[in-house]
Amino acid sequence: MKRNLLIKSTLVGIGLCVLVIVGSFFTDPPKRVTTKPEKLYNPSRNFTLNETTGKSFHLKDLRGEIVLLFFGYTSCPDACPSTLAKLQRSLNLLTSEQIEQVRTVFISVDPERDNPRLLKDYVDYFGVNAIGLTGTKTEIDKVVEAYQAHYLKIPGDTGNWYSINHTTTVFLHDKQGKVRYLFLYDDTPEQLAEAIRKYL
Amino acid sequence: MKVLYRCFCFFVVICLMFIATAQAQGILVNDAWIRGIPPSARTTAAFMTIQNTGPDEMVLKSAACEIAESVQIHTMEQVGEIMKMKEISELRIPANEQAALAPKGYHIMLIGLLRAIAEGETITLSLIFADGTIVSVDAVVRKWGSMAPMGHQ
Repeated sequence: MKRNLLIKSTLVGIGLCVLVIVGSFFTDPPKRVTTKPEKLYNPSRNFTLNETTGKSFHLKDLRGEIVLLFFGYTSCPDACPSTLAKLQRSLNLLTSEQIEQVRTVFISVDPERDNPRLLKDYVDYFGVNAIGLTGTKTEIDKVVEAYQAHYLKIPGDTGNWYSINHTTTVFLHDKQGKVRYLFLYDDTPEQLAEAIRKYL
Repeated sequence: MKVLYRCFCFFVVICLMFIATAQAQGILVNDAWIRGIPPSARTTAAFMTIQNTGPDEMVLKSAACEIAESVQIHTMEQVGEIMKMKEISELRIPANEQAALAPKGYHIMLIGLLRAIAEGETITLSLIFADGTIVSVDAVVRKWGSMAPMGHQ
């Protein structure tokens, strides 16, 4: 009888271990850091775009800082402000010393409407230590392609207004400028903050 | 006979009053807010919950706001890593159901703002339904929705 109990509890124990191990494969880990983004996004990211001051921007100038880069447009009603607000909340979870080491780079995919002034006001509004970048359509397309991102202008049914469907992923670059982590749209500020801390 | 006629008139008036009240109370709007944007930006979105408490389906056809050149009803859809948005011609709200206009879903686009909007300010919107009902909504300008500080807005 005692032996039976011992076997039963051993089996239950093994079962629990298996459950935990199998479960860990299915739960979304806080670190989406795989070799995949490194291989996919790192080979050809030499691009030239302009900062809102008119200065030309080079990603290598931000070596030594964590760079959170994403694509958007200032007329975006939902995805871009949500992402910027979320980045702000992630930064709020860090210490002021840590925040100083993080830079947000917002690349406009709407050169027609996003002039430097608009772009500057927009990124400053969210207080995420951001640089807004713009350029010619050809220059922007080159960067979009380098990050394997996408965007598509969608004309409205009424009036001249158009919206843009675009990639919402935020690309985290480590201090050496390598893409290490992809923040997906549904990731929480806590997940973002955790990944940022990892690369500080 | 006269009494009967009076009773009938009274009954009709009560019925009319009931119908009028039912129509006015058919739509309840809760938690209306407009996303705060920098002063130079000209486009934003309004979010809210529209509850249809009436016995008939209500169809939201359009909306109006006097500080926007154009107001449109939109829906969003996240397809893989891409956010897609499109204008819709109407939003159907079945009887005794509600429609959530929230980030990542339906929203009312305010395009071509005629002036800057400030956080905390209240802006009036009009919702225009297919049956002619017009509902006035006071929306507060906020940086994010009531879900803050959670991750999913």
